[in-house]
Amino acid sequence: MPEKEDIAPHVEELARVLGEKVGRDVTKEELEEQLLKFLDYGVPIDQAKRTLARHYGVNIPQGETASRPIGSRTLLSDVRDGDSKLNLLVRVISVNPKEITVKGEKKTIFYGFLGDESASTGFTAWKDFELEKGDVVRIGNAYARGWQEKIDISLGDYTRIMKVDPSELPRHPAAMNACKVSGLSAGLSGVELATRILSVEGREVTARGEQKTVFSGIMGDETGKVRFTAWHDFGIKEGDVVRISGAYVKDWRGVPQLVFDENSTLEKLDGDALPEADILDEGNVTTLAQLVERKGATDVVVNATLIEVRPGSGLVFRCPECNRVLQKGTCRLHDKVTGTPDLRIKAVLDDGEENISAVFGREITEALLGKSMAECMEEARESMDYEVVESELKARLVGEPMRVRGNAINDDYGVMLLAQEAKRLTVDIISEADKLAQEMI
Amino acid sequence: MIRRETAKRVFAGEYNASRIEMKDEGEGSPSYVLTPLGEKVNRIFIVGVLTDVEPVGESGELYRARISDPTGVFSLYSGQYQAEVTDALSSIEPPAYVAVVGKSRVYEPEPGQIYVSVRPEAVRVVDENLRNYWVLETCKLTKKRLGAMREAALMESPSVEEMVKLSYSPELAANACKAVECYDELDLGYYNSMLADAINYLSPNAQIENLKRDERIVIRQPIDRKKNDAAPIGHPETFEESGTEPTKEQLPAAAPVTPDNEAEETRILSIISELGGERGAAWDEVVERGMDGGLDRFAVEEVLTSLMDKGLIYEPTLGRLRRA
Ligand SMILES: [Zn+2]
Repeated sequence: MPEKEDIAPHVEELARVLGEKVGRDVTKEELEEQLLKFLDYGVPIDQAKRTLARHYGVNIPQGETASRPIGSRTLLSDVRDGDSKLNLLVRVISVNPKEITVKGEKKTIFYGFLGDESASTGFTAWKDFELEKGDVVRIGNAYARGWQEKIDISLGDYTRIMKVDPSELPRHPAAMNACKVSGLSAGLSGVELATRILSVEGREVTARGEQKTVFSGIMGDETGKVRFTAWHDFGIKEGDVVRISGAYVKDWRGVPQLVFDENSTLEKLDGDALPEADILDEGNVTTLAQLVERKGATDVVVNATLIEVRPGSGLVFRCPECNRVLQKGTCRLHDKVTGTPDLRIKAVLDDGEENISAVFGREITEALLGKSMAECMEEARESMDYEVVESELKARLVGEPMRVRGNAINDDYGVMLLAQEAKRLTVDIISEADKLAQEMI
Repeated sequence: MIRRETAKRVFAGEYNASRIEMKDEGEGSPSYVLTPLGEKVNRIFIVGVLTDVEPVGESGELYRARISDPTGVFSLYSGQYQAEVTDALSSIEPPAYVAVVGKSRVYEPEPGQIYVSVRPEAVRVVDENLRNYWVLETCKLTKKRLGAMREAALMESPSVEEMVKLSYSPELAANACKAVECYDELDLGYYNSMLADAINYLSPNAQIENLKRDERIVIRQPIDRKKNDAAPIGHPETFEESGTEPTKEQLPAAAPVTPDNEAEETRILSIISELGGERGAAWDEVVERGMDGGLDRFAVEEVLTSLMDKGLIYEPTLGRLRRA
């Protein structure tokens, strides 16, 4: 419930609007009391003011409530680590619940992104403010903290939030959110990004009856890579370094994808602005926790232990019609068929802090096994057991630290890494231990 | 959706000193061992030296194995319901480097007297290099926890929110606060020395210059705090030292079942009966049928693991399930 002093500026504003009616039809004290009552019932402050004004015969047009936030408003771009008592006017770009345990009690917190005309910033709400994507809200008494070199807005017990009419925060100019690739997650909009185009190709599509060329490919910076689609011909070429403003991020088959169009702007930058393509192409090492938080990513490298070889690994047979893996010689769609052999590993990767699924295809499996699929078939025939390969994979790989590179997709079962490369991880253990020793206190 | 449990890396020195068993709020939460440095362990990954494997109890179906790491010794118990793992374990000639994925187990002969062990799910002979990699990784993760514990211990009343402000992840922060709250006395200096020893184990010449091994950072709770009769202690105490030998009947301590879990277990049990036959039900079919009920694959397998823990089902041969 708002404190009395919090609403004083709103009472003043209302009194100004009502003019000479104050003191004649209603006292300031009554206005305050009525306003508080509305707020108690959860009516947004602007609606409450509009309603009260109307009650006393004055119309405040939509969008003109000009309700001053208590204290002056801070733009997100001006928020610094450690700021407190922040007053913001922002649009909720995304909001997600997260369960945490505090003192043995399960608690749901919420995180996501807030945007205004200056920037967009991550936030954490320590209680349920019933925020929904797309809401425009005035926030009072928030604070900011640094979090992995980014600023995060914290909304706690003392934070006040009022929903306001979305028109109070114009969508354009879009909130420019200076991003690095590793910070892109589906739902983000108003993205500003400097990247190098690593590959691009055009294709013809028909959109609303119109023939159009869209350009898609991969772009990257020193933090990672991302697939993109441009719905407008900006004349980009492989190797270009560009700054794109007003892009947004969509989920594309479980992977975040950057999308931009004729409403976005694209500016070519000096080629030195970012590392060369071959350096960016080394791949970006990410933790499993980051992958899970980002809900998938394009072309990442993870270092993790292969903790389990899942059933369904080893020699499998696929339906020649639909490529599904057969169960006992039967395809779910095409019934009894003569299957085509294939070799794969369904694995769980685990780095001690998070775990994800991973699939290794035939070539990688052959390399890790040190034998070809033909040899595997031979072994299976000799032992009259196709599962012999799965057992061998377990015996060779469970517990092995691996370096795996590929695309990570996100679905109902969590994040799955589709491996393009995988090999046993080699680490200089002594020098790593020496590094740790130096950090000890 | 039930997430698959991450296999935690903790040293024996930390794991064996655990005196807290906990569950998250909400139905179907698995039980965890909360270590003194705030790691919540349900699944665990260990690489160390297998020093001995021996049958315990009268029936000879339960085996105990010991795995040594630079800080202490893990105790593993494996029985007839983990036939494949038990066979694998008992056929390894110690000493040998082994990698083990397992589940945390708690043995509580008397209220407040808690001993932890591990029930292996998979075991494999590995080489020294892999053992060293595990020690390195476990050092890194232990150091992270120790840092969070220091911060939490310095706070007058540890708060997750304050911890997160200091850039700790919400999970690390919550677990550290929980550990400070649960352990009456915690000697962080002891674990700092343990960690330094583990680093020196990998690199004997590593200079750890500023480590004050004698400086004890001790968390002491206010005196008015409710104390158990058997006060939890901060130092490792293995089964050997305690002199108590868990019997087969006392192991493993099955976690209490929440109603929802029970319903799923009943459902999966009937699927196994139905698909059963002479060779038992095929694992994949059970999982597939289980998934029809709305669970995902991992959730079904968690239910299967729980049923195995309780001795209600077992794996007569690889990939087959049968009711006990
Ligand atoms: Zn088919």
